[in-house]
Amino acid sequence: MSKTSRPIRWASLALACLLALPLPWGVFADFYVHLSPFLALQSFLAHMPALLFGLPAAVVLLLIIRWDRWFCRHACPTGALCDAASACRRKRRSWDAFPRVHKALAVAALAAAACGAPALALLDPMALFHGAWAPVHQGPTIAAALGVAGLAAVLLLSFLFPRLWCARLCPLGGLQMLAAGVRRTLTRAPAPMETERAPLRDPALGRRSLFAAAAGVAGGLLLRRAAGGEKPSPLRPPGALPEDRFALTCCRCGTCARVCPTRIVRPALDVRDPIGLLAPELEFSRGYCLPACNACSRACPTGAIAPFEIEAKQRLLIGTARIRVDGCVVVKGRECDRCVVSCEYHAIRITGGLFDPAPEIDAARCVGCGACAVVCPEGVVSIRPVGEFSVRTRS
Amino acid sequence: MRRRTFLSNIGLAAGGLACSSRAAPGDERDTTEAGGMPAAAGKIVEPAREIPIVARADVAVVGGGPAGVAAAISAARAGASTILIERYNCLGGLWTGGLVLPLLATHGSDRDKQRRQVLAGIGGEMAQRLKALRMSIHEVDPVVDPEAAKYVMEVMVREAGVQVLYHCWGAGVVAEGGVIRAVLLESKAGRVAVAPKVVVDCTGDGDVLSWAGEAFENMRYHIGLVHRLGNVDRIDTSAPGYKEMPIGNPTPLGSVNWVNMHGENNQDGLDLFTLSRLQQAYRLEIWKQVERIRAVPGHEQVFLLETAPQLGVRASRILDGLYRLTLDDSMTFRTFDDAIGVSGAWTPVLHNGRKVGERERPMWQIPYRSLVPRRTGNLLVAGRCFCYEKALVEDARVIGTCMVTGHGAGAAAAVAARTGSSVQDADIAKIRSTLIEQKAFLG
Repeated sequence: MSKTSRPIRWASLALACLLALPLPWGVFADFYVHLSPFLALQSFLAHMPALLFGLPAAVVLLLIIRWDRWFCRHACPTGALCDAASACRRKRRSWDAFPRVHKALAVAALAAAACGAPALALLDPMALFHGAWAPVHQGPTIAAALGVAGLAAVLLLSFLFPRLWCARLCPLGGLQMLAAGVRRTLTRAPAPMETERAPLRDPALGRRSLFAAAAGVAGGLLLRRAAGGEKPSPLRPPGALPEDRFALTCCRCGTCARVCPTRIVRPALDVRDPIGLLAPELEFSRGYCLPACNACSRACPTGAIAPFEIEAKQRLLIGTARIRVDGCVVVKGRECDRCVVSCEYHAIRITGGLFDPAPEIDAARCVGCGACAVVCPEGVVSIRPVGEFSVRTRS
Repeated sequence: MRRRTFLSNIGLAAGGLACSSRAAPGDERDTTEAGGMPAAAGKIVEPAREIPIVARADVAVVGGGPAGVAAAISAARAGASTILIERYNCLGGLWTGGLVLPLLATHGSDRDKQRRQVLAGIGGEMAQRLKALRMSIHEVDPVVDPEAAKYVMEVMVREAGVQVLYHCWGAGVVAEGGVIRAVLLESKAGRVAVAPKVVVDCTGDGDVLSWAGEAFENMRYHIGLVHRLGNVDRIDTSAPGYKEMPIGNPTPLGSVNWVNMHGENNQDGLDLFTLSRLQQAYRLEIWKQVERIRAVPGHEQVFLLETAPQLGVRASRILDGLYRLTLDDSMTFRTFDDAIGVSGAWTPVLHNGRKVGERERPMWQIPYRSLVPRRTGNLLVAGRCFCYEKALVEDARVIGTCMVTGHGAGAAAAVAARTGSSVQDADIAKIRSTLIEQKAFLG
């Protein structure tokens, strides 16, 4: 690493930390997760052509094609932290013989993504970095601790084997090697003198890459199979992909939870659904999903929560409200219309006879925003998942 | 609704065209275009006639509900000669005649998140006197006995020297140059007039403000009819075949429950045919319901004590005044230089995407301007028809808030009558000092 780029990367780390804090950053809150071309490429391959490639990631992609490991050297906050962890140990353990896994990982990830399972997005350094901020936003929960685990593992690895993660494992690093390879292929430029100890042997697309791609395809298809099948779908944010693809697409960066103005997004922690572990789910105890909000969809770097316009919101189903009427205040003959007036989709009416009135939900209008569940003074409204295998839009 | 659109819509209604509402069918917080105007079956011209002025006063309060009684007592205590006009034979309006016994919105949270009583002044005094008579239960949002409430209010208006005119119904106003010269009343002696300096509209339905040509919206809401059951203490829960039945909620009388009714949604509380249809349907249904209850083993002794003399219209006309109080104002401790009172809340609401439970709801100031119409120089509006946005209706329409706005309007009317200024240019400092003398809580 050059001497000039080192302070730039420290500044980048400081900026990333600042933006990760629970402050009103608006559209900049999710800036760093949108920088990773590794995430953007996988989502693009997995969901093409539904998703356009994000502009920040596209710019970074051009930069890493033009300059070797530009992102590592200038921007990566995880890399800066790994450097710090590496510097903690004077005595260096030798890992020169360790294979260059990162490029294979990148190839495998992109191949799996092309099969619809961009699951290696989990290893993206931006996702790891942001996932580790979960305790700041959610408090000390088990899920938040698991969110920290990814970055903690990488830092521990860097401490035990200085720079091993960055130089040999990080798939974003691998992608940058691939990008540089692409440039050299295009310009027919000779490989530069390697800065690291092992000389650069393998070309951009070698036999190893082919094996990796095959492994990626096989792994991707297996994961799709594992994620499919009949199971109840948790309450996902509006615009979430169908459940079989959602859990595989989400990179667990936690940005959706961070930007949600009503803080109803939390990482799932259901042992019966290991593939959905830490993926965002909604919980309506104090807040609900605002009808005029699409913050999570704008923030999601992977498209697991598909970008949508606010106007589309009444067609995006989170779930359906269900009222346990025997506990309802109105049914007990007292004065209440909180669910009715709270429903901005006009999905609840009080019906029934004069002496057995009860709130009734119009399933054709209800999107499961949770407003009624939150406001109910008796807590008898719950939001249920839409169906066995979610259809998350209404025509 | 502006007056011009109102007038043009009368033509529409007369033509038998139902005014379509833009809101979705589930929304009962709808506004009728031509509220209170039944489809006409023809027209007739009433001949002009001379009306005797039977009384002159500084302040005339139309409507003897919780707002009107508080307004009349406040004005009279402030030294104004005061007339209180009531169509039935008792004071209290829906609180007593409507049997809506809970005095809601007595409490709100302060900035330190401590829930405290905000109902003070004349409303607070009524609550206190009822408590002293042991005719109210519950500390927060007490439920009272209607006869006791009628009695307490009667005593208080007499003590204050209010002239009460029962059995007469406001029928119109004579206004000139933006000032009401007389309020017309329909009585057993025929049509009569009273000539006050200042009028306070406490009709609940905003009758006076509509006669005065002030702008308003008519909110359609659900309308019910409350009844009371006797002998609920004699229900034998050990009777074979006993089953729990909906028998309403307790009152200060151990043997009596009051039974609320949600009623039909989206009804026009100004339409005489609607009111008549609902009245009839509800009376028949209540009788049948009580029979159903009596048929269940253990409930043989329960009987229908009374149906409320007044139909439970929850909201109708809402003034388009100088300031429209918003739900957001009520949730954010918004302060007003011209605050004439503070009310509380009894419902949970959603605010900024989060639930604020009734116990956490802030107390909220009510500005004088939300009682003041835009044009008429000697009219104030209190009770459920003052100027607020519909999202606030549940907390604006209830008894406690009515007492607060009534108290404010009464003091303001007395000040306006004394100084001779229009209500729009009233001396706010004087009104507030009068209210503070009368132990109102201004926040």
